[in-house]
Amino acid sequence: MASEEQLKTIEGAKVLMVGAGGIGCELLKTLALSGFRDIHIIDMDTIEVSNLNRQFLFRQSHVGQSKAKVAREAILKFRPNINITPYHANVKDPMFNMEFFKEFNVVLNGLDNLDARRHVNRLCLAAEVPLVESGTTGFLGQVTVHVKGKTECYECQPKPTPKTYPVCTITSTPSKNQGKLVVRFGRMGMSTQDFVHCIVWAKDLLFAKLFGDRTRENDLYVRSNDADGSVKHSEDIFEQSPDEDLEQYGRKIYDNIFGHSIEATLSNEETWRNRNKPKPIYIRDILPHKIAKPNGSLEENCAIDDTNVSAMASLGLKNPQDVWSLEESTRIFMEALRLFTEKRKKV
Amino acid sequence: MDGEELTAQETELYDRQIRVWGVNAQRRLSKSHILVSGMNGTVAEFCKNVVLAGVGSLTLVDDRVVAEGDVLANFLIPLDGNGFGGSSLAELCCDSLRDFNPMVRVSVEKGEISQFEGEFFDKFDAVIISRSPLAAKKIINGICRKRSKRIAFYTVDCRASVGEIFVDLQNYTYSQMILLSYEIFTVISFLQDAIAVPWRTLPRKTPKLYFAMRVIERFEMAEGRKPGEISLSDLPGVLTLRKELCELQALNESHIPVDLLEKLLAAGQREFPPVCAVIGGILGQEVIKAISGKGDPIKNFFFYDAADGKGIIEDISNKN
Repeated sequence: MASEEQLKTIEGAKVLMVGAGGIGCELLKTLALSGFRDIHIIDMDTIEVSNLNRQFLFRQSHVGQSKAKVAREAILKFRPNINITPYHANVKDPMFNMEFFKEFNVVLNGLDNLDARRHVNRLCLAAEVPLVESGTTGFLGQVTVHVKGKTECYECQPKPTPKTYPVCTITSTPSKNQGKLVVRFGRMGMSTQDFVHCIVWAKDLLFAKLFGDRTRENDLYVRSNDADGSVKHSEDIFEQSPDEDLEQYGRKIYDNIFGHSIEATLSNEETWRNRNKPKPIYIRDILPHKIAKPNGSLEENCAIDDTNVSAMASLGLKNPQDVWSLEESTRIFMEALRLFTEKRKKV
Repeated sequence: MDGEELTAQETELYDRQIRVWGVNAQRRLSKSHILVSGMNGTVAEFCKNVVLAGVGSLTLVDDRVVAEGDVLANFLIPLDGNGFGGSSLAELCCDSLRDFNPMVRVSVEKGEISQFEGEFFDKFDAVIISRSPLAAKKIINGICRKRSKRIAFYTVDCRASVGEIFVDLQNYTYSQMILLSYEIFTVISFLQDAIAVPWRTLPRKTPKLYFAMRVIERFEMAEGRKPGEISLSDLPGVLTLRKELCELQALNESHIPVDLLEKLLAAGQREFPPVCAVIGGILGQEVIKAISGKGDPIKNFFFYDAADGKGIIEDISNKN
């Protein structure tokens, strides 16, 4: 319990908080209850619905507003007579220079990224202000104290850098991705690594090929094999040809990625000696008929809500916890391609 | 899978925690009913945590009219300069908690919890008692044990820089994954039996706080005081009781240091906000574990002291 003397120090202290998120909300409340009267708080973020389950100073009606400013208002309801100064700004903004940091008795970090943490650490070292650093993931959390000349600083020990995934092995042994991407995403028998592979493959390779700069180097290797048996250059299949409508284009891409190129990879027997073989999938087996338009014809469909384009929503799939069947996954693929292409046309 | 699906609104709001404890745990939480008695700073923290987590309902019991001292560690009581209009602690806290999460039903039950009928408790999955005399805690623990359904029972108290949680999950079995296979564990403890365990049979590492809290508790009971209705001037009486108890239990008095007793007496009813946050956080997590059936529950005491920052779990139960 704070003694009279400690309480006096607390009341006269000037504190800087960086971050008004999960840790920040709890910290600001505890500082205010503990007797701190001059608290400055920096946060560049605005409130989102997914914050509300833990950032208890925010409500549904605050979504879209500045975290720092709303946090201040919420605290003043039960501690009306203290000073809270909010900054809806990036801590890396030059206005928060060494002179600014020197004003404070202590700096408390509740950040979500390495870059900002390093930045604040360096400013605290330069300004000779003690730094309290914190972080959480899931059920784990930690706090460290950094005082110049007394303890190590935040960057004295190397930090593990976020994992990167070697994309080249993903393309050459597709058992972990394209064969399963549509089929078993979310089913048993896949490790976290497999999920990461799926996402990296879809985002860095397929998405980039379909919607990115096609002239850029990309490791996605797709063997095309048309009905007439002629082998096309792999670049060509990502182009929508003038005689194709969007659905035909989608079906062509689907068959090439999940069908033809899987068969091509399977032809290399050596690769599959000790691995589970992927199974080629063709869209005619999944969606044999032409897709019925959800809202009239494609052309009429300019009424798509620009702020919320979701293949899931437009197919009427509501629960993100559901595991999709192969047919549902295939429909999502086609619908997402349609929405993306049409929305982009408008832009 | 048990029960209905989560709504789209729930899935969106609880997205981040569903990633931590899974959809089934969330579903069980949303169907659970919690009862708390004694709206101090620690219980306010606990209530905030379970309301945000999305329990089905939370019922508050505390008829006391709000006084100056009650707001020191309790952020659920707004200070708008208009006074409290004679509202009870439970009523004021209820208004704030409803605002935290509109999907949780928060309500007030008037009366003294140790007088409630046994049937009243059948509505709940977990009961949390704070700021109640030892006698009342024992009565309620006894009622929870006699009901046909399992009702998890907790007591929680923070005094000065320290906090204590007691857990009785009755016949609680839960599974834990050890080396890829599930094993079933059972937790049983009864407050009455736990505090009756002879002190000399307890391991040497048992926190001094455990003994100090029992001395203060006994003192309040003997003097007919309400919990926390104590001050430094009670030190002589408390030291006499310490001597008696230690002789009876064949425990060296040095296990209950005078300065620790002084600290507890001087604080009276005052709580230290950072300790409320820690203890209220641990208790929230414990109740979530018991409802979801996931994770090792505390068996059966948890102690925390902000002076050294240590949290200690101690099993104090009759092993025979």
